[in-house]
Amino acid sequence: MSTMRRPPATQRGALVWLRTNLFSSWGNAIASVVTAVVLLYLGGELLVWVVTQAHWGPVWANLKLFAVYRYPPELLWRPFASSALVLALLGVTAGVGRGGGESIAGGVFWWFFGLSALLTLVGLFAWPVARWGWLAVSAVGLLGYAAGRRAPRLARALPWSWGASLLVLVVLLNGFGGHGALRAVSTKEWGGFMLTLILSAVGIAVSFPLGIALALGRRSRLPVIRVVCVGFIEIVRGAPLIMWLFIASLMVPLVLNVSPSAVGPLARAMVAVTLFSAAYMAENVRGGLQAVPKGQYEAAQALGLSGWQRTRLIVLPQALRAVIPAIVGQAIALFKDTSLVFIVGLFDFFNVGNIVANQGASLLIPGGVRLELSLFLAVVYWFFAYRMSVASRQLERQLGVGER
Amino acid sequence: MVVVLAAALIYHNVSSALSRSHVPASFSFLGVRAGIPIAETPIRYTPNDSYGRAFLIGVLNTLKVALVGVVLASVLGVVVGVMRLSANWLLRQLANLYVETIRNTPLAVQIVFWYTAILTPLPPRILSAVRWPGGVLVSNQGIALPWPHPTLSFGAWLPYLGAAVVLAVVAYLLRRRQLLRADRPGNALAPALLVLGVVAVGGYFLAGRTPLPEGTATSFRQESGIATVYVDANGNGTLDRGERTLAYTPVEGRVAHGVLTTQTQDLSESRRIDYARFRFPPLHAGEYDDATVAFADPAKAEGLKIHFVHVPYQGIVYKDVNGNGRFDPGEELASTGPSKRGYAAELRLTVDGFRRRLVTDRTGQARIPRFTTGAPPASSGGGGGANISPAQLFAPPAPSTPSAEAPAALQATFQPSAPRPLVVSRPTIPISTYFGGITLSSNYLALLLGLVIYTASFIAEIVRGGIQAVPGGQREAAKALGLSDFQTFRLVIFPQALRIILPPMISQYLNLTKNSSLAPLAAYVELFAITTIIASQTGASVPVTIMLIGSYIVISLVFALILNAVNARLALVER
Amino acid sequence: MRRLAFFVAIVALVAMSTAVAQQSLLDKVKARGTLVCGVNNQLPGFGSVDASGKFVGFDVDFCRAIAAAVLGDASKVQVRPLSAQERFTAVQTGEVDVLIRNTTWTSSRDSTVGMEFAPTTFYDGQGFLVRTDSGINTLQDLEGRKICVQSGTTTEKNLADVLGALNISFTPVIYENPDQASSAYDNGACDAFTSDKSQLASRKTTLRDPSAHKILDATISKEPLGPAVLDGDSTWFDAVKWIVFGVITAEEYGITSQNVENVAQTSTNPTVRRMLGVEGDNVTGLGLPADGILQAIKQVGNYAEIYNRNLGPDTQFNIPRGLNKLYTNGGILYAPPFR
Repeated sequence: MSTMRRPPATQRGALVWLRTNLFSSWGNAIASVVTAVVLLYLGGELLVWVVTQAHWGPVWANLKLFAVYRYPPELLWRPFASSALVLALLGVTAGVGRGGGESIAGGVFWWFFGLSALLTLVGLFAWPVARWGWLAVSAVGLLGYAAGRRAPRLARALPWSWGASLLVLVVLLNGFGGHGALRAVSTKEWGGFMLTLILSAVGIAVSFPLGIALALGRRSRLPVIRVVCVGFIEIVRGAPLIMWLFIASLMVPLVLNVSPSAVGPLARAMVAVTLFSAAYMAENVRGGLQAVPKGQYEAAQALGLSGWQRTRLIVLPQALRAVIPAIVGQAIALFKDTSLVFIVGLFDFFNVGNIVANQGASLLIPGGVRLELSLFLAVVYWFFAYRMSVASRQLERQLGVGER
Repeated sequence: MVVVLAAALIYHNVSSALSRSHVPASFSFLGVRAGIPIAETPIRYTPNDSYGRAFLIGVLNTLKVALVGVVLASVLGVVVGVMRLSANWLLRQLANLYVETIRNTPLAVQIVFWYTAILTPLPPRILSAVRWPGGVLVSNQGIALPWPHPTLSFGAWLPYLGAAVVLAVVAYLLRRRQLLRADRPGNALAPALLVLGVVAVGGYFLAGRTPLPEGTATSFRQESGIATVYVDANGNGTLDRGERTLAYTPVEGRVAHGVLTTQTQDLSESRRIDYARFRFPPLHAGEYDDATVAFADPAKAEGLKIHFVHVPYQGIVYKDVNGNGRFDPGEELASTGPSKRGYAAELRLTVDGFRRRLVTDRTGQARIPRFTTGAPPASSGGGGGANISPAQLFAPPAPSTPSAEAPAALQATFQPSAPRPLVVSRPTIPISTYFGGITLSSNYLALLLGLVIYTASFIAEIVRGGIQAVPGGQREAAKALGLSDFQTFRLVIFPQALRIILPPMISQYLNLTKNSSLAPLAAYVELFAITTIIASQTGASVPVTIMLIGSYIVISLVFALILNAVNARLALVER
Repeated sequence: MRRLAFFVAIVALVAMSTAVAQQSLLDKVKARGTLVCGVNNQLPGFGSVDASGKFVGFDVDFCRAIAAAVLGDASKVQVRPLSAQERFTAVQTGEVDVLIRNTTWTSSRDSTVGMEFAPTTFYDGQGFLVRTDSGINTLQDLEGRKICVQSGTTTEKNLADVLGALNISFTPVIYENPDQASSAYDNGACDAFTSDKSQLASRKTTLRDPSAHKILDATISKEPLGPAVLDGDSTWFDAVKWIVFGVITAEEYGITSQNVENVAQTSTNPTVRRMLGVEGDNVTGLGLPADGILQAIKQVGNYAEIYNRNLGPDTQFNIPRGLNKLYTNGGILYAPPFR
């Protein structure tokens, strides 16, 4: 229905395009005109409001809170260094990429590099605190890309460098000891967009193996394991994340039987987010497992592979390949859902908005700044989620899932 | 073994930690008086009811938003999904824009956005509510619609309804057998529907003859304009505890002579632009005899004039710049000066023989506007600056010395009449809240809007995928049969797509229900919100969260069962 | 065999969990080196986060005073923002050492909820903010009106109790965030906004047209706000209690953050000398360092300084002190003597 074929050469030209795409019939013409008028009107109103009436002052003044919440100002180089590390690795990945990985990693890299460059520009003109930080991040990212282009051999080092970078990031952000440039920063000071990213990354990374285990457990021959797995998956999926967060903030210290101060709100939120995500991950993986043809099992058995070997070498690789897009989709959902951690008193990107709305300066603005804030939050969330969904679609095409 | 041990460990840890940490862990709080005020209650609830009932209100409110949301999201989702496949480029792009924007933004942000957007710039305040045709009232407190309510004779109608259904089924079966025997085509449904209609309508009027109960009486409180219709069981002329009030009973309210004085709260305003337009709570044309409108503070409004759009309750404040004695576009107050405040207009209506048909609400109350006997309302107790302590609030009122100046009581009568099984209650604004009809509060609307728009973007994708999955040959075959585009879609494509669409739709419906737990962001009190409130008021967080989990699981299961059954039926048709 | 193993495991578990010896929070705080203090971070004047990420406000200053007295350093505070709903759980489970989050001292919180309330730092009462032109002058005028209220607070319950008892029917609108409640009121979504009068005073200044609103005379409740700690730990409770008294006493005796060290050396008043730890063991007896109260005053200030810094005439809130004046000036702030 919507497949757009290239029109034959004789039908080119703007008028022809208009006729076929907007005015092919009377009904279509009316629909086009009405839509255009409404869109122009609404767009115009929005633009006028954004440019002339909205108060962007509170958003502007609190950019640091939005980015990292109360992370100590003198240690801001650490989040910057973390961003630089990730962008550089992404650059290398994009640079060395050949064939399959190239377009996706490249697209993601340039998208984030563009963001970093934009922030550098903003910094150069109006955000002195972060000026050099963003400049350095952009430069390092570009260097990584150049390095990747020059030395495709780096490709071999990529998997373990990504793994190692996780460790480096934890050390860098959390720190250790009580003094100096790398002193420990309590997770209570973490927040803002940094926290949103950390929560989503940890949630997806940890829930992945958990989800696989649950999905396999669901197919187990032992009834106890099967019942526990099914029960866990269905109960967790039966109730909303916000409720599990609320419960986790209450129950995690009780279940572990430790003093609540030993498990900070961040740890509790992570437990809830991870377990919640694992239940959904398990359902995704199950879909993949079911998609593996029966012949594959039988062939593996004929080769004399043990049950575990069969799962690890034959079934899982095929199953996971089939569900990669679904997993990316879940990463997007999780990224958006981290906004619910406001309920456990964490100050992620969304909840910093609540703080800003309740600052004395914001309250002095007639009508408050909630509209401005929600628009700002929406744009930033969208920027990241949209890029991920584009990548997911590219993956889907490349893997040929969805094509039958 | 491992599992059992783990469970034992968890149980042990929890119970020992609970006993150590002062968190109460019993369900005894459920019967305790809650004292929580809740704005929206599908069933009767007062703060004097128990925590258990408050929790039930939460469950019902969740269902209220989820069920309506599911229907609306499906409609919007299908429309957008079809738009994404439209031949019209602009519509296609618009649908794409919608899906890509909404899907990739957190629902929490969207709900806060809608809530703020509904509350702040769009509609006017309640006192200047917009009146839509059909008796719909719109303001930033929400939308109020006329609504049919079952009355006390509804019970008498039920047997007729039952009989109508039975007779209709019998008629249908008989007619079908007859048609089958005769082996000719024909519609067996039409006569059945006819039978159904005749019996039901006939029963409606017969049941409507049920008289009002013996001893029906009304009481009227002048200060609030409230009349209560009740059954005076002991015949002492007052409403006592335990005496039944008559919900949803038509009442004719009359005021022999009265005065209604009211003020614009402020000239109606948008977020940062003030307009010169004002509105008063609407009395209908013919409900008043004499009206005067003047500026509340004439000194401040020097040089300004009032132009009426609807006499007397809607107008524009303007300044006669060109001096032609009438209002011209561009002369409204907004363009005449920087500050628009303080130009409140005052309306004074005199009525002789005011009549209005009302319907009592759930508590048996009906209201008229706050008329006075003619003397301007006495402002009592204001401005003194003295603090009134909590203890003084309950002090008995000082005995009023009877004097010649005491204002005469407002002469108002209320005549309840025997109701039909259903009565349509129309919303009014007696003071500053909606009364009668059914109110969709702005909190509810914001949450609903957020949920519907968000979920529809996912449904649209499902619908698009489902339609695209129908083989192209089907379309061509339909075309070859001479079906129009719309017929092709309705009769051939959509039914086939529906089978692919339905299973993922089920999970979207469940998602919508679960996402309604974001209600606190829109100040709507549903299951999750009421749980957090109860947990904080009683401290019994563990038991109440157990109830919360249980409720969600049950709701999810019921949803899944219903929709799976539908799904199974559809799948059966497949060959 | 399996069953036996199960019982052994259970017995082992129970044995492991013998109660840990009870230790006062005071010692724990000292050992930890930081004070964990639960506050509100969305109530400008009492507790909020400024653009640089610092917690500021009246309640936060009391946290700092306690940290200064116990640990000698006002900056050794770990502020834990708490919502109204989670605050008591946070104290019950020991997540915060002290709760200073505009929390009302009530009998049920003192008993069944398991709190212990240190002296009131702010005397408040619940009132109503209404439009001057709404025609609402007394509580009776609230009949049939919509009232905005914040969720999970005593305000919510008081509203239902008092108006219910006066037979006034109203429609509540409950909000999660305080800014939403006041902006909803400002936009006319409700006719009245109910909260503690101090909050109302500060909210009023942030409305579009403050002069078009007024606070009703009627006070429907008593709201003594003060620090709360967990019940059953009298050592910690006493320490918190007397730090607050110290701050109040300092105002009474004219001791400020500027002159406190000077006073400690020169004063001849035995009460002052005992409080500042120059004489006697009144402060050390509480488990605090001898210069504990002195440090609190030096680093944070006396009651008047704390009040003026956060709520006083030079701030945007300008809340009159009212009941919160010293008893010598017509208020009810009265600290028992250091003796």
